Amino acid sequence: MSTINIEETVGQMLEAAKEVFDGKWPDVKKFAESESKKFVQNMAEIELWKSTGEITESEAVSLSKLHQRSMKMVFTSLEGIGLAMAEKAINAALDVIKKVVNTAIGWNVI
Amino acid sequence: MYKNVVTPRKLSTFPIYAILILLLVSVISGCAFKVKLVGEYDQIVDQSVTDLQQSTVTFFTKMKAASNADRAYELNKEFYADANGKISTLIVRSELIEEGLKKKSLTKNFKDLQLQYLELLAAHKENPSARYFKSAEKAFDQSFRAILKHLLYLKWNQTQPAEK
Repeated sequence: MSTINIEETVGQMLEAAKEVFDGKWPDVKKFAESESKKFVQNMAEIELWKSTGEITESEAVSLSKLHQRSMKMVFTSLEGIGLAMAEKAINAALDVIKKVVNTAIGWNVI
Repeated sequence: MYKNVVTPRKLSTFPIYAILILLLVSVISGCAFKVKLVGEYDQIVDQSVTDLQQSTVTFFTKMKAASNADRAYELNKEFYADANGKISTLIVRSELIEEGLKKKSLTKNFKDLQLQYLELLAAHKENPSARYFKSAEKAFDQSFRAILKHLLYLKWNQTQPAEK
């Protein structure tokens, strides 16, 4: 019979993963919210300038493309950040099992 | 909002079976198993992005203050050649960093940034107003913030391994 307490170990692993996320996700969420707000404000500004004749239609179209692409880049970055966080969380969980298994067996097998 | 972003909630519901299989593979293979989802943080990329951002900020400051005549594309086209050279180098470097990965977020963003410079160049040839440059500057600022935030997390991921 294994000396490893599966439930306890899995619990520790998930706790380790959760810790990694808990500290950073609010910051990422805040970033996503603030950038989305900026995007809407910028688009509203373009609309205003267009209506008051301060920019041409072709300028408005070009600016709209620029701002949309910037917003797309924000989401692409969030995707990358999410993956970086997931990588760290999974590896933190794997580190937990490494310690548990090596201690239980008495050799450094992992 | 974005389905590919891994959220804490998604991770907490990550199937335990999948984790156990990963662990089993790790034990059987007898080696230190590390999951690789993102590219390594690269100091050169970080510095190059910062340099490109600085030159872009300088360009926009100049365009907003310049007279119509001084804003002419012909007088400022060197900026675009320089920016395109820098961004092309960044694309090559990020492709190498993210080689073999399923998601290549950094490379994707550098390619989008390159398209933004091309959009700006096309508009510049039509002699746009100072207002145009004012708004375009905000778009580029947002793009650089997105890239730098991403790089910041890659650095965090690499330099501060989670310990229990």
